[in-house]
Order: sequence, then structure tokens, then C-alpha cells
Amino acid sequence: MMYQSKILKTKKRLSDDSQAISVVILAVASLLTILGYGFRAVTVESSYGIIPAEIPVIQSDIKDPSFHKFVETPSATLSKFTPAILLTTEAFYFGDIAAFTTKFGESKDKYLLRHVDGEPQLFNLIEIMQKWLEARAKDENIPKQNLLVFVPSGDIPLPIVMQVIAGFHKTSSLNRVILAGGFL
Amino acid sequence: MPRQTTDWQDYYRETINRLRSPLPWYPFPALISFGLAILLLAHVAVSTSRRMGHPTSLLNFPSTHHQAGAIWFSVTPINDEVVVATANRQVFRWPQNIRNIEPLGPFIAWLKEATYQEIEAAALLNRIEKKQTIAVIAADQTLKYSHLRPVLYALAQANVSKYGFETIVANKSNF
Repeated sequence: MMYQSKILKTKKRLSDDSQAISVVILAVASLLTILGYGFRAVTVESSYGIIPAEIPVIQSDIKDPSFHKFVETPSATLSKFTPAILLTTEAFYFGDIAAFTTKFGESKDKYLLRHVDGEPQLFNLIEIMQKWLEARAKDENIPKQNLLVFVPSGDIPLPIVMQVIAGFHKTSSLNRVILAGGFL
Repeated sequence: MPRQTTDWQDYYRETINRLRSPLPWYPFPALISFGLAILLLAHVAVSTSRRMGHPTSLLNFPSTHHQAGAIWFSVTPINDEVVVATANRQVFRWPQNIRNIEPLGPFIAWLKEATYQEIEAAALLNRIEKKQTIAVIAADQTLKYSHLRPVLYALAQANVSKYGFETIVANKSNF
């Protein structure tokens, strides 16, 4: 008798479905929320930035036959006085392009900034180079350019290359960086 | 005299009675299907992130925010190869110790085709957006500069003069 009354009470309790609708609504809402987060993880992207660099082009005179007669003028020109930086695992070497090409044998036109405990001294390099460019413009009348040729050695990790480019990009004096494969 | 019934008539009557009785779970399967269809249309069918499926681990670095470039590809070192995967899921590979430019032929052809499409679109619209003028390289952090040099040669072959390295900019919340 006692078991039968328990069974009857259990049946009566389980057949009470007054909460069923709210449970179902809550379950559906939870499912849609989880699926919504899942789909957003698939489709919504993070925030991305870019560290720009350039490849120099050769100017060609193409005449514009249209009404506007558009003529493109170069914003800067590479020359033998363009600053150049070599990055190796030991140090930064900087000078101008001529110092690393036609005048490679000379030692007085190149400068060295060693890494400290393997860490490139980028901010020191930027400061020193700015002073060097100012002194060159004043003493040797070499016009300042905002171009820089950067030649990392092959075993330099790419994040370091990117951070060096980003460091120079933030300056006003050397904010256009050309990545080079090497000097010939 | 009672009418004789067959099994299928009983089954038929039971089915009618079952279908006529009200169902406690009536609107919810339709609501769930409708909700899933709305989610799918709103998120997945419109666009998936172009970066999905690319194994590239980008550098986390604060840099100038930039919209996704028209020409975008990822560069990742996998085993002894450099694997380049484009935004439209094309994959190019070459050995890490590459010595000539021949294995880059298909990649250079893709770059040329992509730049041609951008130029054609800009000419037809008589307008060009800034993101169309720059090629974005999503380079993996484990790359070395020697792995990237062939990519720069390929960009030069395809007459791309402006390019950039993509980084992740830390944001407070992306949701």
C-alpha cells in the first residue's frame, strides 16, 4: 500500500507539466545563445593592423591622352646618399647606399651599433641616425630624405624585422622603409 | 449486426485521433529551425572570416589599423616548405631553401591576376579605395627573413609596389 501511494504520488508529480513550457523556452534561448557565440567566433574577426613597406618603382613617362593630362611625379628618389641599414645577429650597421656598394672597402662611412645581450637597440639607432642625418645635411649639404633601405640578414626572425620597420615608420624623418634582399 | 473492420481501418482511425489531439510541444521545433536559419543567414552564409583555416600565428603588435586588403595571403613555414594560402583558398608551396624563382611561377601568376582584377574594378568604377592599393601579408611569427625574400621577389614580379605585414592589434572586446 505504501509503495502504491508512493508510485501514485510520483506519477502525479511527474505529470505536473506547469514548468515544462518555461524550461523549453529557457533551453531554446540557451541553445540560440551558444550557437550565436559559436557563429560569431567563426565569422567576426579580431582587430588587425598593418606595418607598411614599399618596393621602389622605375618611373616611365606614359602620356595621359585624357582631358586631365595626369602626370605622376615621384615623391622621392633613391640615390647613393639614401640611408641604409644592415641588421645582423650581432649588430646594426648603417650608412648610405654608396657605403655598402661602391665604397664597400672604406670604413669611415659606415657605423656600427651592437646589440646588447642579443637585443637590437632600435631606439638608440633611431636617435643616432637622426643626429647623423642632421649633421650630414648641415656639414656636407646632403639633403635629408625620408627613405630608408633596410637589409636584414636571412636568419633574422621576421617579427624583429617587422618591429624595426614599425619603429622607423613612427619617426617623421625615416618613415618610408624599403626592404631589400641584399646589396650587389 | 456489427460492421466488420480491418486492421488498416483501425490504424487509420488511431492516426486521425492522434493527429487531431493537441500537441504540448507544438511551436518549438519550428521556432528552433527558424532561429537556426536566421543565425546561419546572419553569420555564416554572408561571409566567414578569410582567416579561418590558416595556420598562421600573427605577431601581436600595435600598428595602424587597416581594413582587410584586397590582396591578402598568409605565409607559414610547414615542415620544410613555405606555404602561402590566399584569401580565396588557393595554396602555393615551395621549399624553404629555394634557389631560383621557378617554383614561384603559380604564385606570381595568381598575384598578377589579382592585381589585374583590382585595376579592372577600379577602372570600371572610376574610383579606387586605399585598401585596393596595398597587398597584405599575414606572416607567421616563426618565419625568418630568408623565407620571406621570395615573396618580396614575387610581389615585385607582379608589379606590386606597396605591401604591408599584418599584425593583431589587442582590443578590449571583440564581441
